[in-house]
Amino acid sequence: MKIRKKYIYIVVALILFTSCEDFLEKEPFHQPVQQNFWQTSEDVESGLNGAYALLRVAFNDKVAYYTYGDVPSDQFSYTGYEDYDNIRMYNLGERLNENSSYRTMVHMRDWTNFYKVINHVNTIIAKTQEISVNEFDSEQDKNNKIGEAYFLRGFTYFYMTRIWGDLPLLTEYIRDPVNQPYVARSPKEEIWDQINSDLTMASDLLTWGYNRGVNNAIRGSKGATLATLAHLHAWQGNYDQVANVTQTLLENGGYALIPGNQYETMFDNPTTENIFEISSQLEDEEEFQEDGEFTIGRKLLKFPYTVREFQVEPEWRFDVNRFRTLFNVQDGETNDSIPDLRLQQVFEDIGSFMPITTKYDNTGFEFPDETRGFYVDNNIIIFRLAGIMLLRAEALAAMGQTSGSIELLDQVRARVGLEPYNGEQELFTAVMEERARELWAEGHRFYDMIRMKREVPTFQFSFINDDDFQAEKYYWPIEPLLRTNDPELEQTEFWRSRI
Amino acid sequence: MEKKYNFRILKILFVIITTSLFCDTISAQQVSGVVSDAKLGEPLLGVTVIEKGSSNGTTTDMDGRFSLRVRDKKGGALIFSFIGYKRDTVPIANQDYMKIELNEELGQLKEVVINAGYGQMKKDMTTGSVASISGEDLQDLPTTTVVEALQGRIAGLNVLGTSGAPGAQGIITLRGNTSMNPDTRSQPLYVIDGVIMDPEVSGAAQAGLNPLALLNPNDIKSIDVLKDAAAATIYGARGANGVIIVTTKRASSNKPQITVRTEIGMSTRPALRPVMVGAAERRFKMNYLKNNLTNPEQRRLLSLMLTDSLNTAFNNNSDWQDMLIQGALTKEGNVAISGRTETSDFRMSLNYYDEEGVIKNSGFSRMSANLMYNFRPVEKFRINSNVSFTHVGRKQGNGDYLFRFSGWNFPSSFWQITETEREYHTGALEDVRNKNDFFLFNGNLNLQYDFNNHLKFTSNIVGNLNYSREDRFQPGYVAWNGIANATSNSSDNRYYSVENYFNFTTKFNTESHNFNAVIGQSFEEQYSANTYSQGRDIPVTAIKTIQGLPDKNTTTSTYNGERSLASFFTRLSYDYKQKYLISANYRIDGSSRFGRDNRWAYFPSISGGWIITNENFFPESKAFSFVKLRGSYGITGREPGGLYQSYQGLRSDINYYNNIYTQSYGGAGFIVPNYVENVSSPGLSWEQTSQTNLGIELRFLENRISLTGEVYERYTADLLFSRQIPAITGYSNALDNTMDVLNQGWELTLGASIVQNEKFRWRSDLTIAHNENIVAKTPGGRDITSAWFSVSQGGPLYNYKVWETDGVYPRTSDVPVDPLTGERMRQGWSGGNQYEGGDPRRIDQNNDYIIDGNDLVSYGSSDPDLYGGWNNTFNYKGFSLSVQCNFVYGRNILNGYLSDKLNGASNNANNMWGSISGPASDLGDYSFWINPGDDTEYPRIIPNNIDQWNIQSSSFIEDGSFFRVKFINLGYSIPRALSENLGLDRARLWGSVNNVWTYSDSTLLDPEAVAPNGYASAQAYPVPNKFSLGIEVAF
Repeated sequence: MKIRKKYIYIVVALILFTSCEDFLEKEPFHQPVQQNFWQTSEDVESGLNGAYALLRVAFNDKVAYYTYGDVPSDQFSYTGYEDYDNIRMYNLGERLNENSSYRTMVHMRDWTNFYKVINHVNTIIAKTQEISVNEFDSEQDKNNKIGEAYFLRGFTYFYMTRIWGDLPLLTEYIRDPVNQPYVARSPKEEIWDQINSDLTMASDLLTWGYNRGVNNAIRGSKGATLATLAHLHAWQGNYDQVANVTQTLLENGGYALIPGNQYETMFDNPTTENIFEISSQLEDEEEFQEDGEFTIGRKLLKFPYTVREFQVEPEWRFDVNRFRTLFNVQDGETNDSIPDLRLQQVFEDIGSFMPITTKYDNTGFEFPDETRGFYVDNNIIIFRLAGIMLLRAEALAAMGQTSGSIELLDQVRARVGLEPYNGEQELFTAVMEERARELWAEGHRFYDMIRMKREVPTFQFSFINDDDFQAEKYYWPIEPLLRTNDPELEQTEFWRSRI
Repeated sequence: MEKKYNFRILKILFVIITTSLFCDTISAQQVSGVVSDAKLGEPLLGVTVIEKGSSNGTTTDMDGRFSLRVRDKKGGALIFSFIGYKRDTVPIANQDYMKIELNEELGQLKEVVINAGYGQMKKDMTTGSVASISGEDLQDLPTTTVVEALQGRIAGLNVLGTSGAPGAQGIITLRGNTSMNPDTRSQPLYVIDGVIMDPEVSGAAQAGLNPLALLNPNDIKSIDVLKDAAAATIYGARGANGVIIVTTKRASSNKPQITVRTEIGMSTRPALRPVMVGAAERRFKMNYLKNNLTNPEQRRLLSLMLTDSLNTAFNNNSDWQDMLIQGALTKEGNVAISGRTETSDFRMSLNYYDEEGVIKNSGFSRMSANLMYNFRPVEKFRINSNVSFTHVGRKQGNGDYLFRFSGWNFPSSFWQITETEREYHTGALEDVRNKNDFFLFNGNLNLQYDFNNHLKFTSNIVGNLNYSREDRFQPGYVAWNGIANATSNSSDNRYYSVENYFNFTTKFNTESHNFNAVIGQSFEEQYSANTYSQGRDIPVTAIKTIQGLPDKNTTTSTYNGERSLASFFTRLSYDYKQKYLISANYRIDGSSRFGRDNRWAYFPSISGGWIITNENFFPESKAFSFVKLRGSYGITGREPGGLYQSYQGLRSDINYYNNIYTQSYGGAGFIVPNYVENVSSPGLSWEQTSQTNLGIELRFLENRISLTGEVYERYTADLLFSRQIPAITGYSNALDNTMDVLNQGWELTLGASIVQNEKFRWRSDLTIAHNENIVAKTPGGRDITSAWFSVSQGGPLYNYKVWETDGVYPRTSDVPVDPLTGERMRQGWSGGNQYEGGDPRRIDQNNDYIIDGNDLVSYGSSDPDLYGGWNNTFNYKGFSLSVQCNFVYGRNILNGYLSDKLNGASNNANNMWGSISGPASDLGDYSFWINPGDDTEYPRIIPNNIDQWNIQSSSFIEDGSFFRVKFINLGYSIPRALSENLGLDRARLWGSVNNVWTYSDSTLLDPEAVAPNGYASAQAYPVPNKFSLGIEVAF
């Protein structure tokens, strides 16, 4: 009897032992998980870095940053094979089948890359606020990090709203993406309000000098926040607000133009002029592609300005007439004879039929012996001081504050060795033309042209006529698959019957 | 929640234990003993023992033992009866311990005792759907694994070899597919001697092996297949796709016996695909190009390989296929030693199997050692132990595709094959290294304690350790990118499980009420670890491992994963006078893979049966020996996919372009959500299958003919499937319980002893099953499509979605014109290319004059409508002949070989046709459009308007039905008199053939050797014919 009882006790003990939930609680070792990751200041820091890395993916995917900002502009007369030339001509309505996910057109019409940033930042904002301030260096450290997150959200929405106009507005951390309800697009005015509020919040939380070390234009700062806010106001046509914001930025930002004879250096490393840019450096293995097909180097460079010997011509070719008119270059001219230091510093073969810019010419091969792994080691410059000065000049010109505008315009011109503004050209146009020269192939020209058209109705787009401009053709269509997966989404208005 | 259940279970346990303790009184009138087979000496399980002149009785246990309280120990007698054996009446004559030997009744079906999971049961008394096959039927066949021998043997079990590669996994699916992965088919759960092997997470599965491939086929005593919910619910959590239970052999006779067995086999060179070589190829291609290349620029750019017929580098007539294949040898050796005493028995077996592949440098070898030792220190306590070790080695050429040439880049015969190339392609290159090993160590300790005649406690402890490792090296001159590289991939799995259960049997009112209960619990835990390393740019070919490389040239990643499962289960069975049977199962499983709120699942089942022949009103008739009706309903489950379904992962890298990962931003590391993979959520839960089954079992003419019929309906709900979610979440795809699949069908099993007398016996077995596979629910009711396959509500899982194509347009004027626009049919969209003469005539299903996704139609699937087998066994004196056939019907397969080939044929033909064989294969049999007016089967090879017409066209889908004589086996047992003279217990010789003859309408080399999704790739491993000769002696 005794033995039997012992057996029973063992069995009972075994059953009880196994009953605990703990036995069934297994957490993964191989990856951190959303549910329990966010604990310290360092976690937030790596999360913020992740947000920039995601933004970099969005900008590098099919060279999106330049494809959105430069390809459909008057800078190019041919932008190569596949879909780039259709994008240049603003033929964005081609319907593609489900096997076309590799196509540039599909990538460009798809905003998923940007929503990856938005959701990640929403998570950071929500989770960081829950972390005790004791986990941070100081209260300001916490504020700066939250501020940076708000900047990232404001900036990303701003970048998107210039492309698509109306957007689904998400500002909360999505706990259960699997059961996320469908979200419709909010009118762009609501998006702009959200951007305004995010950037104002960021500006309040961030301190001057935060992230103002030499290399830290690659992270958000108060300067970058105000630069974005100024651009938002310009996009909205609130030029008086542009003037206010840029004034604050110019007075307190501590940024300075670099000398004209060092013009090229700001494309290699952040200088006192750089306000915000996206890091793309080889040492991070950030730019390594087997043949570099989708790098800015393949699009804009030719041998010998790139290490790829077989690249005898750039894939994207300047509109030579426009280029020559803009920079006042004659046929056959070489860049030593030109007063504009920009031409000397970052352009080549300017008088030929195939001029190029060497802003992004730090090229190399990951495996030089096999000429494999073509890379470009240049950051993506988004905002820099000269651009902001000209944006302010634009605003002042539009508001009729001529002298203030000319003063800024002349500062930018003088830096590159040009004569002061002579009044030949109408001032607003002159400022916009200076922006075109200053920011050639820096992802701004298409948006500048839209602002130009709003102020100067006689200005003409090659591929968007006046009626289509009124109908806001310049906002991109969204990839139809997005609508299949989210039936609440409407197609961008202009494209409804055209895709 | 689970605590509540525990208490309930404890309460029940307590009641059972206490009541049974009272019954436990040993009587002076007790008789015990053992019953065995007179010929084989094997203990017989399930023999009915009844005291003569009463209804007092019992049945024997798995050692053939019984123990019974008798009324009259002195003058009474015991009757031993067992179907298939002669009934025996033995006087007790005051014996305490009796040894009984029963003689086989020739030609009769034997009583089948099945392993129902946590207990044995007589098949006649079960209410669930269970099919069994004896190990004898699976032996002596020239197969790499036992899986192949199961083909067509069990109604409803669809076994198809997808490749002729030795040890390839193939399809083994019970009652229809529920796998949401188009490239695989669902598999049943395997239970080998009580060790549960989940086909998805066991180490074997991770190494790409079927758990049955690890078994020595000669160790198998029987295989039981639990088909319906009533049978499988006892394995609830994982029984949704059926359960295959393997029981291995135990010592058979009382005297120590040594069995030695050896077999040698040969695989013949498989058939080749017809190709044109040398001058014939050149003439064919040039002729075709001359007629088709209209653009003078293209004519000018003809590949040198075509035009320069004098250059020795490419004026050859190399036959690439021929170089790769060979006739191959198979060797097998097997030794088993067994013995038995009053209190213990053991069996030890060693097996060595080595098969060369018919593609050079491919092969499979298995070495296994198995020791089973069972010991009964006291009458009531039994220790069963089993230890096995298995090693599987696979030769896989250079480690990529065994058959090295895909359809589209199959090289032209013009190439000269250099010695290096020959060595490389045949995997014989000394510089290349590819080593692939799998080790399995398995230990099983089973403790049984009999409290009394009624109550038995079993504790089963299983430990399982396996390890697989793959080391490869490729020198730079053969690597695709010219860079020498070495990889090492190893993984190990540790697994243990503990099961405790009580078995309770009792009878009330003598024989009228029979009651049996099983109740227990189990828990298991698995830990998996994996290490993958890669080294690039290895400077010296003599170094074949990852050694001395700079950091940037090496990559290492490790993975660790854990899972656990806790379960409680019970089964209650009751019968009244063996006429009315009822049984209920209940199982509760909790899995670590799901979130706290969704991890527990409940799996009930209920079943009943009626044995009409045991009714008093049923007339004693020769015609009907046995009639049983039964029905069941129940729910089984499956825990799918990844180990950490409830968590949303974060990553420290981003896939930013073509799998180029970046790990830092501005020199600092980062964290981002795992947007790459499917996002999951704590809301995910079990997949559940509810199944209804109705069956009838009939036996006629003194059990000479048996017929079993089944009808079933299996509804699998909440299958985890990756569905696209709104992109505004940042994620593209989410795993969700979103798919429902219905499988319904019927099964027939017919067995007959057609002739039976002392000299000659002929037995014939036929199985046939029909299954219909219907997708009942898709996410949002939408179709899920890829290039060829689609899932749509109401259709089967992964049917072909293609444009119905009816030949070609002979002339441009034959293309239909849209009356509204006056324009010809367009491809793709309203701005797409217009069709011309020589383009495929795709049917415009919706008459909008645009051929697009809306015109795709369903075109069948690769899962058969009907499948089964027909087996005949003849015995004449010592000779035996068995012929096994199997068939599938109503199955469509995709001629990917032709489709791929035409892909290579069409692109850039003027240039490409030099280096690749292109159309110079067997395309001579097909007609292609050349000149306007040609009315041909296929469009022009060199395309004009309609890009890639070789994809998504009904022209490539064909009937994959076949009937195959799979095995013929001829054996001879040396007469006993002779073998005894030789000092042998017995001796047997046999010869057999695998893959004898096939009938099929398919144009493919082998309609069975296609991928599970039906795609017959050019790279499919050909299926050889195999012959073998063997001998077995026992002494």
